[in-house]
Amino acid sequence: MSLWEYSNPVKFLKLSSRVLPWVSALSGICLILGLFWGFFWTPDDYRMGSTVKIIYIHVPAALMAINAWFMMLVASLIWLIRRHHVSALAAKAAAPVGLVMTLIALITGAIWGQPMWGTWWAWDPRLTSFLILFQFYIGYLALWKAIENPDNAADLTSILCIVGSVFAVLSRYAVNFWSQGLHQGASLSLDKEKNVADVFYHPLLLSIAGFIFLFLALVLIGTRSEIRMRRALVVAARRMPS
Amino acid sequence: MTVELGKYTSFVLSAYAITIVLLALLIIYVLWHNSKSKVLLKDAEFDKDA
Repeated sequence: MSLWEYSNPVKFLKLSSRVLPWVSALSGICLILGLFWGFFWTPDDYRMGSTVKIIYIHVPAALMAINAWFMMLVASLIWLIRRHHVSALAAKAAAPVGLVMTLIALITGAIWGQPMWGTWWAWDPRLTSFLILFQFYIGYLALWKAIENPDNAADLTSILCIVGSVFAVLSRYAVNFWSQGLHQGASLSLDKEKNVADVFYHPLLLSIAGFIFLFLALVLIGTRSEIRMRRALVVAARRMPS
Repeated sequence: MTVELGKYTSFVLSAYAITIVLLALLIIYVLWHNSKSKVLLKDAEFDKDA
């Protein structure tokens, strides 16, 4: 059995209908446990005080904002190379989710920044690349809306997605290779010295898992909707007199 | 179940409130789009059969 079999819309719909309840349940469980654990049962940080609790929403949202774009990039490349409609529709379905994740990361970052840095916003490399990524999400969605022919829209949005990936990479690695700016280094690292303390780390991992499952659930539902919409368009087009 | 947030109460609570509202709006939008697609497909196939 090959993974490409699921590029068949019928097979994709069948598989996703079986997977969706599990992914949704895992999303709810991980989010509730992670956020409750982090909010109610972790101590304040000695420097940041209680604002450290924002980490349980800010970091997972920022991670998903970047990874959603990477998922869209992979799906767009599959569309451009192999012309599988499901991949183009999956990329389209991921865009609103990525947009909201980016918005959450920007807003919670500003709210966290005000008491810690004394400002809501700074033209710091990480913040700026994230703002540009947010604009790319808006542009991507606008381009889908603007072009009537769905295949042409998929082609052009895929190219936009490849261009925007530069900013997704910048957002991901800006904290590592740009030492200037207000934003702190990455909260998660394979190096235990650089990682957040264990007391914050475990609920943070649960919260990240919750955001990942939520993203998967919403993209699956969104892709199923897009497949139905496309099918309705095809059926309507066949009825039109030539 | 209470938590003492001290002088940062408004910052922490507003961050959580905005996140919950945005996630709720996103979920509502995705579910609304899903039900709209079902209705559209059903109508299109009904018209085809008619």
